[in-house]
Amino acid sequence: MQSTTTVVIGAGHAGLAMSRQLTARSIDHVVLERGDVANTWKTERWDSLRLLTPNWQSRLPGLTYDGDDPDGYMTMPEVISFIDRYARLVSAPVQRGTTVTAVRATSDGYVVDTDQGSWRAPTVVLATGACNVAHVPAFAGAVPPDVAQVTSMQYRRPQQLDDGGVLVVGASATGIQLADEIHRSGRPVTLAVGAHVRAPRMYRGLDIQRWMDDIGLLDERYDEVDDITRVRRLPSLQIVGTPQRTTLDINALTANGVRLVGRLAGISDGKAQFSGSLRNACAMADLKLGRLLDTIDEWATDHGLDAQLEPPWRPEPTGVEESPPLGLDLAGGDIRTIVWATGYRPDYSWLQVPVLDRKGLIRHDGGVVDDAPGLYLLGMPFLRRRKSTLIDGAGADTNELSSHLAGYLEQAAVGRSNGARLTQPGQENPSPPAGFLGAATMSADVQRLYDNDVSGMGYVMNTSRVWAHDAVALDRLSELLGHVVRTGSLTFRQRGILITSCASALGDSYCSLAWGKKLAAEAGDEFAASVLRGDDGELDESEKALAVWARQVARDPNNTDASDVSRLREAGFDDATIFSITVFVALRIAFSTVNDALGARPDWQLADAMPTSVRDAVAFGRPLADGGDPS
Amino acid sequence: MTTTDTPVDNGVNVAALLEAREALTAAPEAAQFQWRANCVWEHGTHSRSTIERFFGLGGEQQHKTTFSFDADHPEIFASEDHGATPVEIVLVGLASCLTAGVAAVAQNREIQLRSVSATLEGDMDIQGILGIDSDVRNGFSGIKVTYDIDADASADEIKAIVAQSQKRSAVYDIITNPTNVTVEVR
Repeated sequence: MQSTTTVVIGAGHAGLAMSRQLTARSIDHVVLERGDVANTWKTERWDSLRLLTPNWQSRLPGLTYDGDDPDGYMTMPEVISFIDRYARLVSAPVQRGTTVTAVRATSDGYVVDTDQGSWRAPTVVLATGACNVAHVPAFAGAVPPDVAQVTSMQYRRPQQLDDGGVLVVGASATGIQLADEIHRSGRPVTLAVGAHVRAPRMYRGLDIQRWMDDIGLLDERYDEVDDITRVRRLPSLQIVGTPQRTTLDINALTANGVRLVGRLAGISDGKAQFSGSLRNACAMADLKLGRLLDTIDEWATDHGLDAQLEPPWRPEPTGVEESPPLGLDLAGGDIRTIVWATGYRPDYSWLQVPVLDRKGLIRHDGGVVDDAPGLYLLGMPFLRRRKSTLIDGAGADTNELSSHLAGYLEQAAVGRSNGARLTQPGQENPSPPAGFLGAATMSADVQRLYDNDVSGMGYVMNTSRVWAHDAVALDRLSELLGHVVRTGSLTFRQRGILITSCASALGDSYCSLAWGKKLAAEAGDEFAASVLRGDDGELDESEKALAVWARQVARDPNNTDASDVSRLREAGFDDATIFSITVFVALRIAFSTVNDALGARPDWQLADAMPTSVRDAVAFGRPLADGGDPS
Repeated sequence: MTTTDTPVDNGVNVAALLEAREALTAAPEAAQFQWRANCVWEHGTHSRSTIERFFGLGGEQQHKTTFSFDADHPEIFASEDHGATPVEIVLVGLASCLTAGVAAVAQNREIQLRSVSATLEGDMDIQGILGIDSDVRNGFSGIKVTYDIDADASADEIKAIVAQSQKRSAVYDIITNPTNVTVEVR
């Protein structure tokens, strides 16, 4: 059996990006790939498919599209060559033609069995993607035998289908694209439409993906949305990548003669039964699109872009005939083929670690798999942010997860060198003291605090070692912080600005570095550095008002006056929110004060992947803890 | 980031509904419900149905009182008109399900409702039930629901509430999608 530190399963763009991050962190690893690099793109997609995202958005850590058509959409051969090129560029240790047959947990990590032998590793990254098998509803078995059935994974081109009518089931990006080209081939298409997400390809002269990127929608984080379960289930946008940059929505299909029916609800006695909910499915998609375009328009106005953009417009509401058909006789001969474009599912038949929920999906927190230390997941819908399934999402996700993985390896090494897990209450704390106080006594509360750190960060923070003297006090403080964040609807970015301004004003290097790094990942290195330096160069007016206020509260709360509060009001904050902001800063001051007074030095792990500009901006406070070996 | 002077109150305890959703996610077996009705023939086309017990949350449940519904046909069908026709009762079910949904969704979205009313029209060609034309179905050829809603919200926000109510409605689903029905005689 071979050994390594990390086994990455899957050499698509996500697995390769992870390989690059692991290499940068000097973590020994192997990437196992059943076929060749970018296998799914090569073998499981239709001929005419192009990426739904424009070329400029093909950004991987270390490689960004550099061709002469940034607004175009890659064909499949182009995608394959882009990913091939990336694999060579990052010198990924890919073992091709290696099919994983089992992943099993052992006492000290995992064993990955393959048809080319087994690997042992303390950490495993699952980068096999969200689309391994085509999902087909159970009632497909009731389709009459003389009607052919093809899934979107088997479909390549219209000529592969018999002449005659085709029922395309599903109206996400896949369904509408297949419906369009099949209908144009002379095979009349009936399209069964359930819940869907409508979008124009271009809006006010810009690609819809450019808009979603600019307004921050794609960066929305998984821990900031109301209902993560719901957003993870959303179907893909109804868009297509074509050289003409055409919009392919339901209206475009019906204008060409495609017939619409409701969601396919069942098949009985050879008859397809369609839901009567078509009108509402279309109305919901139209309303949701209207809200997206409203948000875009507001953003454009706020940023003073109206003059240089095409004027706002609204697409026609989706047209639905007065009484759409509710049934279709499949045995009648009008329909020769059913194309199932009803989504994909991941295949975890080889995963023998008990981490699946009742729907067969992996339970995880932003890609850190629940109850399976050292096991990580990549490339799933909304894994860590809205763009997690895009090529463009792999960079940020693998950066954060590889950081977590590195921390986990370090923590596991500490645990081993102490010869015991940190589990027995009353036992002497095996984590060394982190400030001027001695090590706190272990308790269930301290254990929970440490476990939270390890599951969230990959290591126990020095602040937690200090607060371990009263872990409940830290719980209460965190609860209170969480309360004001919710009450004031403070976004991650706003919190980052408040904390870095407050901590740098106090001379607290710990929170300045920890949050400077987070803010840099969220808003850019220079953005974070400018807040830490106090020049606020990259902040907009509303963000500047936050930063200025946080510094005032931290430095000299007795010298604020009504005009300072007015400035916040002018920046768009109402009085209730200003109160939340102030309480938030005051609580962070309390937290920093305790850490600084008791000598907590910034965790050495913070140096890992720390942007230089952020580190340079923190020329104050206690220095980083000695690196690499906290004991 | 807005302040609301008076809290939105449509009389729906959304917090309790969201808690129930969380609890039932963790214990899906408790989400298995059975709804029941009993029906007794009175005379002619007149029958009386009663609703009393149901099963859910892992046990037998009971309404606060027994509810009773008379159904009959109007006099133009040579009946005595002791109650609404069964198809009208279907419209009642759809209307009350959608309207409850409107209130709940509005509450969840913190939108104060002032008035909500709905008009329902179910079109039917009775050649079907009379067996005159086998190409005509027995049931409605279509149902039209028209809402008049006065609320602290934009027209699109109100439309979105009504759309979401349809998406989550049991009766809307029952009417728009096929259901296997088994009728037996003891």
